[in-house]
Amino acid sequence: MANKKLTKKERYEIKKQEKLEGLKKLEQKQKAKRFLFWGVALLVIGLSIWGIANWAMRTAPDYENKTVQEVAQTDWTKGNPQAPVTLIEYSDFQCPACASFFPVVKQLLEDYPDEVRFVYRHFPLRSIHAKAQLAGQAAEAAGLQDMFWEMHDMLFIRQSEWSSGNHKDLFIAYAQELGLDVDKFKEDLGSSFTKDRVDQDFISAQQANLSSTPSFFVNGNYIQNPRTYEEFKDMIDALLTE
Amino acid sequence: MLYLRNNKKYIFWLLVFFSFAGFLSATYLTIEYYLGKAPECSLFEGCDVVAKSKYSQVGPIPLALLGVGYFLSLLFLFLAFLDAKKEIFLKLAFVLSCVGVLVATVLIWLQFAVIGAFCVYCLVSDISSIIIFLLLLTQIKYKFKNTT
Repeated sequence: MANKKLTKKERYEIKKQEKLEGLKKLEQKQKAKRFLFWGVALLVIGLSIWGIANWAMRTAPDYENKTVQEVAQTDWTKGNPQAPVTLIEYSDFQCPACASFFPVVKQLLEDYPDEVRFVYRHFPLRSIHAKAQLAGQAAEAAGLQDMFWEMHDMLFIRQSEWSSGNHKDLFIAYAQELGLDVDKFKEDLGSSFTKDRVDQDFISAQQANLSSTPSFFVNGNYIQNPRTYEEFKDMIDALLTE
Repeated sequence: MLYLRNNKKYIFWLLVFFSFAGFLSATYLTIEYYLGKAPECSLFEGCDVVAKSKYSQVGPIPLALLGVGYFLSLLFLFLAFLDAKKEIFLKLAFVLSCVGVLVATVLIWLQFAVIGAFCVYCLVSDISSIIIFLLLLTQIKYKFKNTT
């Protein structure tokens, strides 16, 4: 009887213990699951930050292997030819970033009329800007009538208009507005002469290992694009006090 | 009551997915900002005019960094909800998301109407914010239906 009672008690105890152990195991399992859940989440977040940082660093521009051709007679230049600072810009008329730099450079030339000589070179990014090549030719065609800079300004100011519209007709309309000989402009716009002028600059951009616009060289050295007018100004000031 | 029904669990994983997507693009923009690259048009990518515009920062803090904080908070709240099933996490996320959706709408409008250019990574963040808000709204609606 006592044995039977004991067995019952024992059985009850065993059952209770089993239940407790089961609960404990379940709790442990849940704990492990939660640990795994948060561990994986934190790992994924950490790895993605690391991956993105690495990727962004790799695409950072390389400043060392960029050398620019010296200023030639055929270049479009503005400002004092004897200026101590020469700023060369490789630009694309259809590039919005170039258009956002246009007022910055303009301001710089107004503030440093004697200290800075500016050189504009074409680097139409044909793969993403289908109208950039002809825009360069339009500036060259205007240049044949001594109105390169006027057309240069017009193309940047009205970039959004001709980029989304019929660009060829608009270039002709701009020529008319600037008072150019429209018939000559039309002829020059499609000529091999203006095309070659743009192409020559494009080739020199490739030789300088450039892959983006605008790209600036100050006194022959490639620079990281300044983010504000003040940054640009500080850089010029630093060069002038050297 | 706002509670998780089994057949709706995918919504919470979708919320995790979109907050992660927003987090990734905001992180990329923040790193780019601190690398100090100015706007440029590249042969291989678009022109980063939007990311470098004057609207890209609030005082000295880049907007993208605020975006990282916002999406990371949402991500943790959704994960915490999936883990602990406590509705407070979802409520907090909803309040945060109300602010986020307003900011995202203004930023999309700025790109469209003021700057006139688009930045793909910014759009990924903005659209993620809107989708998160809409997904959360379906859950909040559910709450109203049950309490009224």
